[in-house]
Order: sequence, then C-alpha cells, then structure tokens
Amino acid sequence: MVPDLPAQGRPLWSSDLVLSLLYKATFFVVLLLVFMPLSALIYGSLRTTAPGQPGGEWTLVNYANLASSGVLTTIWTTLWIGLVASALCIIIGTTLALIVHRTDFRWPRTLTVLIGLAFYFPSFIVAMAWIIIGAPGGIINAILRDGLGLEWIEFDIYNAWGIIYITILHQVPFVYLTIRGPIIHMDATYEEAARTAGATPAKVMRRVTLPLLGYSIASSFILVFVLSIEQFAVPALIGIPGQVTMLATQLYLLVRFSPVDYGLAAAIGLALSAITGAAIWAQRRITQAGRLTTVTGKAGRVTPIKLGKWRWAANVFCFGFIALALLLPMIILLYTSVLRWFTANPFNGIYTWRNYIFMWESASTWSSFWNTLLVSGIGAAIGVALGLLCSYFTLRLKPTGHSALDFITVLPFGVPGIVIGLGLLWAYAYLPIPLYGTLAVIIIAFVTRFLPYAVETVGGQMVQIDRSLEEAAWVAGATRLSAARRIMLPLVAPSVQGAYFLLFMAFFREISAAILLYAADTKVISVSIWAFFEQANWGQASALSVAATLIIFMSLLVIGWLVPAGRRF
Amino acid sequence: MGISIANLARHYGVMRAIDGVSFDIADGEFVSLLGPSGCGKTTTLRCIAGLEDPTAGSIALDGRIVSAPANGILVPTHERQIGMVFQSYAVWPHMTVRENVAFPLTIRGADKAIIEHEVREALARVSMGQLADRHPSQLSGGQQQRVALARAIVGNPRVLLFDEPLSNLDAKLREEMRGEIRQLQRRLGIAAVYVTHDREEALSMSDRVIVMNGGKIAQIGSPKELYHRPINRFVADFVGKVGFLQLQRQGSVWVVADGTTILTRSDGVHSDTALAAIRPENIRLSFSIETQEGNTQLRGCISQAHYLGPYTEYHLEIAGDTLRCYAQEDFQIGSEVIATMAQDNVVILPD
Repeated sequence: MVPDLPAQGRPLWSSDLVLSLLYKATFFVVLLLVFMPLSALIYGSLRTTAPGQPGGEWTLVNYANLASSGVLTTIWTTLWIGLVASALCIIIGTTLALIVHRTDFRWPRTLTVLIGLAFYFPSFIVAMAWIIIGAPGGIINAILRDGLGLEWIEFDIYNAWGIIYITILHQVPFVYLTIRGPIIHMDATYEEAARTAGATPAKVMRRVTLPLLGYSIASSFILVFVLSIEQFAVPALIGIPGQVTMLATQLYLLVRFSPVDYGLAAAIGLALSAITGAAIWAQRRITQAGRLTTVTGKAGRVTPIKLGKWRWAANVFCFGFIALALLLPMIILLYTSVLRWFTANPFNGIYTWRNYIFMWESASTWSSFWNTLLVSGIGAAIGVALGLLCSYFTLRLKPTGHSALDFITVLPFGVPGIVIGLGLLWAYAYLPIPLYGTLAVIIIAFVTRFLPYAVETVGGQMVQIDRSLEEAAWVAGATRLSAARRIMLPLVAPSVQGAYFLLFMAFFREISAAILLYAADTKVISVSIWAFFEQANWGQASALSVAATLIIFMSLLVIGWLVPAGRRF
Repeated sequence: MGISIANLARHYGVMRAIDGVSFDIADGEFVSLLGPSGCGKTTTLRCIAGLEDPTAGSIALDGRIVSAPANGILVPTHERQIGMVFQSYAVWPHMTVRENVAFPLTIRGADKAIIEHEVREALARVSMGQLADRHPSQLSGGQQQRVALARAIVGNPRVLLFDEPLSNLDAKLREEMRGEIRQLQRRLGIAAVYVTHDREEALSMSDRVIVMNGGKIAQIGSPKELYHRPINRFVADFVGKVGFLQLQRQGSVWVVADGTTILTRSDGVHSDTALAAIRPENIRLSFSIETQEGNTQLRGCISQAHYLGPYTEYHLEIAGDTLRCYAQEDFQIGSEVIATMAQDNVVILPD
C-alpha cells in the first residue's frame, strides 16, 4: 500500500524557513558587495583626506576639480578613444561574422574557434606583445633602421592610436561572438523574401540583413564602448608612457603616484561609473526594444553568398585579423621569452631557458600562480553560487523585494573594475576586519565585478525552464526546497557550469580590479606579469605570459571536453 | 467526498480572474471546466492544486478544507496529495521514465519494494512498461503525456486534475487518449477535474460540464443538457455550432422578423424579445413547403456553401439573421429554399 503524505506536522527546519533565511542571506551579501564599495567611494569623494587617515573634512572640491582642464582633457580623450575604437570594432567584427555566416567562406569552424581563443587571450598580453613589436626600441623600428636603413622613420605605438589598435584586436572577438548569435538565429524567410522580390545578394545584405541586425549591432556597440573606456591594462601599458591619459589610468596614477589625491580619484571613479552606467542603461533599453524583432526561433539556413573572385580578400581579412590578434603576439612572446637580451634580429639572438628556469625556481611566481588558482577557483564558485541564488529568487520565488535584488545585481555592470577596486580600498580602511592586503579582498572585488555575468548566464537558462516542471514536483509532494534541489538545479546545471567557466576565465585574466588591491604576497599572475613588464623585464614577462596563456588554453580544452555541448536534454 | 468549492474568488488587483464560483464533484465523477481563454477555468484548477492562492471562498478535498483564506487556511501544494497532468506534460527531462513516475513515492520516502511495484503497475496502466528506462527526449509527445499520466496516478491521489493535457497532441492521438484517460479515472474511482477549451473533448469525456465565462459559471450540466438545453446564448454558442433568430413576442407566440410564427416547447423567457437557437443538424432544407404538425417552416436564401465531406454546411439568410444547416443534397448559392425545424429542437433564450 502506498503511504499517504504526512499530515500537517512541520519539521523545525521547514523548507519555507530555509528558503526565507537563504533569501535574506543572499540579499544581505549582495547588498554588502555592491553598496560597500559604492558608498565608500561616494564618502571618499566628499573628503579631503586619504582613506583611513585621521582628520579631514567634508568638501566638494573634488567635484570642482573634475572641471579642471586636466580632467576635462582626460574625459574628452576617454570618450573619443572609446567611440572610435568601438566603431571600428563593430565594423570589423560584423564583417567577420557576415563573412563566416552568410557567405561560402571555407573555414567557418576554424575561424570561430580561433576567434574564441582570441577572446580569451588577455588584453595586457596582447598589448605587451605589440609594445615589443611597435615601441621605439621594438621590432618594427629595428627592421626599419637596421634592415632597410630608413633611419628617418620612427614608429611609435605609444599614442592614442596605439590604444585604439590594441583595443580593436582585443574587442573584435567580443563583437563577433555577440553578433554571431543574432545572425544565426535570424529567420531565414526575411532574406528569402527579399531574394524572391528580386534583390541581389549584396542588396539583401544591405537592405534587409544589416537593418534587421540593427538592434544587436547597437547593443554590441554600446557594450564595446563601455569595455573600451573602462579598461585599464591597455591604456596603462600604452597610454602612460605616451602620456595619453584615460579616466581609468588617471584614477590609477592619482592613487599610486604622487601627488596622491584619493578624493579626486574617487570623484573620477564616480564620473566614469556615471558614463558607463548610463551607457549600460541605454543598452538595456535597446535590447528590450529589439527583443520583439528579427529572432523568431526558427532558424534556417539561407543560401550563402558566393565569394567568387573576392575569396582571397575575405581569407586575407579573416586570417589577417587572427594573425594580428593571436598568432603574431604569441610568436613574439615565445621569441622574447627565450632571448637572453632582447634583439629584433633572431639571428643575433642569444637563446636561453633562463626565464623559464627563473620562473620555475621563483617562490613568488609560484605563489602568484597559486593565488590566481585560489582566487579563480574559489571566487568563481562563490560568484556562481550567488548568481544561482539571485536568479532563483528573482525569477522563480519572487519574494518581497525581489525586484530590488534584481536591480542591485546588475549595478556592477556599469562600474569599471578599477573603480570597484578603489571603492574597496576606501571601504576596508574603515572596516574593523583586517581584510586589506588579503586574497579575500581580491575575491570580493572580482565577485562583485562579475556577479552580473553569473546572474545573466544562469538566469538566461532558468527563464527557459517551464514553470510547470517545478509545479509538477510540488503536486507530487515535494517541498519548494526539494523541488529546487531535485528539479531546478539539475536542469540549470549546464548554465551553472558555463557560468563557472566564464567567471574562472574572467578572474584568471582580470587585472583592473586587482591592481589597486594587491599586496606583495597576494599577487595574482596578471599583476606579476604587469610588474615584470613595468620593470622592463620583457623576458620574464613574456615567459610568464606564455605560461598563463597555456593554462588558459588548456582549461578551455579541458572544460570543452568535460562539458560537451550536446547534452542528452 | 470528492471536491467541494464554495464562493471561490481570485482577484489580481481589480482584475477578477474567478469571481464567486461554487460547485461540488463527487468521488468517481469526471467534470470538465470549459470556456474560452481567460474565463478563469485554469485559475480555478490551479487554486484546487494550491499553485495559486484564492482571494476568497473555500476549497475542500475529500472533506478536508485546503484553502480558506478567510480562516487563514492554506495547505501548500505538496501536502494536498493530488495528481495533476500539465498542458506541457512537465515530464522532467533529467530523469528516466521510471524515475519520473517514482518521484511522488520517493519524495515521501516509500519502501523500495513498494515503489518498484507501484511504478510498474502505473506504467502498465498507461502501456509504457517497456519504455521505463528511456529519457523523455527519446519519447513522442503522446508517450510523454502517458508518463505524466502515470506519474499523476501513482501517488494514490485524492483527486485528479488535468490542465488541457491533450492540446499539444495531434488530432488522432487526442481521440485515443480521451478514452484512456476516462477509463483510468473510472477504475481509480476518484474525482477528476478536466480543464479544456475544446468542446468535443468536454462533451465526449465528462459526466458533467461546467461552462465558464468571465470568471463566472455560465452553466453546469450533463453534456446533453448543455447541448440541447443551453440557458443562454454564450453556452449555446460555445458548446456547438448553432444559428440564432431574433424573435418578437406577439400575443402568446414568438414570431420572426418576417412575421412567421416559431413553434417551440414551453420556455421561461418573459420579455418582449428573445432568441431562437437552432443547431444545424436540426434544420432540413427543401424547395417546397410540406406542412407537418409541430414543425416551423421558414423561407430563406442560401448565401454560402462549405462542402465538408459527409455533408455540406449551408448559410441560410432568414429575415436578416443567419442560420447554419447541414444537408447532403446540393443547393446553389443564391437559391430560395424552405428550412424546416421541429418544435422540440428550437430553444428560446433571453435576448
């Protein structure tokens, strides 16, 4: 005989109690993560002294200083570099995506994999490689001078166009990957209707395909703009020597070099966040408006456009980009890492393994590897767990205040990494717990910065899971908690794995949120590479970059193998 | 004891999804909630399941009050011991068929031997025994719905709830499943509530049908009562094809606009105007008048003809109204014909 459900007697730890405690804890943690750095920053921007210093008074002078000519120039430089870089990124990225998905290009898969690798290739490593190539003492000038005897030409990457160039190499994969989805999922009948109406393939592209992609392109443009103006590594590596200052680097200079001005740095951080926040808000409006158009879900394959005599041009364009963004930097780094002293002419080089041997024998390098693994491994787990809880509460359970939670979790999207770092610097000076200079503070910074990514990834899959799957479990006698555990959790598992991977990779490469927070014994790899490069130790920096890149690509392989795309459901 | 619902209401702000619904369902009885989308039928079902909380009224399952907001009683879904089949099947994709069906038993910690026995029995009842180790993605829609059905009956439920369970299946399979669902429920002898917008489904399966409209009950009755004796225009129209004629009272009889008297059985309408509802199969078309005791004959003009195979459906214009009628003979569009109907088949409804 089947036992009946137990009548009303409730256990001490009932499902509802556990869930409501979990909700409160999640809310509290997220609130703390997001508002502590932000409110500390606001506080700091209104004070005359550095964080933790005694004395000081309330002031508005930091905001007044935003209008000084130096800061205004920086804002202007930041904006025009951001706009030009993102416009070029969009043009190149969309062209790549259209070539791969709308023409009879021969190697679509290879190119997508290579662009994926380029996406995970850290920007500061690309920047370093190109500095070795394009600096006044770099390879191009050596070739010009020694190889061709053209002493009157001096090539110099240390300027605004250098920043734009590296930004493009780094961000085009992002554009490609975001535009690719809408192109693949676009209802083929729109384009077929245009063809039957007598339009040539080129006209279909111009009059139908591109306009239909309008919303996606606009959204991608804004995101790239935000990434371009909030980035730290590229403007720091290229802009600081060239005296091109963007907001993120000015903030860094104000905190790390004299004359130190924490208050102005905080005000600049808030100004930068205001710009990025407004841009993110606009981007959300655009995606919401665009959601109704183009994508119908029934993806089809339109007849590809024949490249014909333009095939060579398409090939050069696609593989040329890969060469500049991925292959050349990797070759240069490998080359530099085995040289005793840098020389542009490989036949003059004295080759050595000492950079690798030094790396192997250096305790501080090992500790930075170990730190990075800890931060990425544990940090990503914390971030994903928080993201999972937030998604479940805001999308499913919807308890009181869930829309506030939803709002708070997306806020860090608009806050640049270095600004979060600065905010935490301010916040921890006043906290009773000695967190400053620990790995925990770096984990907190990274989790805060990337929480929106975790929430989006997990939530994106959770909304697609039919509500009745959970309801069926309740009907069958499962409490909310056990339905969440036994039905919801296994069903969102793929996206949880995906989010973990995304965060792990992001943490591994992240430099901007860590650069203000690290101490001697809490260096992560990105910071170590950075430090070697700053000391003009190109060989060490290259060897470490090669190792880091290897780890990144190996993890990609392992995860791709562990999490096969085609699951059984 | 079945299901007992009194004055049930569910309001979302000013929107009244259900507005004072009461009915009782006996053990072993199969009752359909029928109505257009937004009429409150699904909300009523979800309130019974506890998936939505009523604003007012009460629900009792097997004599035990499970929802009574006024008294602060609200038994959560997982304590109601019900079986429910969802429109989307809601078969869990990460479990095998066997695991799906066993879930209601494992969740309450039944013995392994009992689980195995009950699951085998439930799967046999829906003839899915040989597919027990499959994953849902390897099953057709109809097979998934059988799994959902087995899962609904396995836990010894007090009542069975169906939320448009067949609407995602193709027509042939739907007819087959109707019979199976009904047989299964009869054998279990428990009350069943079946939500559908498909009148054929409601009429063919149910002991009684509750027609809902705008959050209220429009009529409760056996399928035959609803079809032959609807009490208002909405029900007459919703449960089957029908044509209406505008009527005027003239002395003690009802007349059509052209003055012809309509013969009917007694009716309860006391106003000056009314509607006559006549089903298309109850109208006979001919070219000549052939008077017969108790029949009404009306002159009309054929405006449309739709050939449907067994018969042709004609639209007949009579004094400004349109009747539909079925005939196997051929009539030309535009031809003048005589429509004959027996007084038993003319239902007078309030205008």
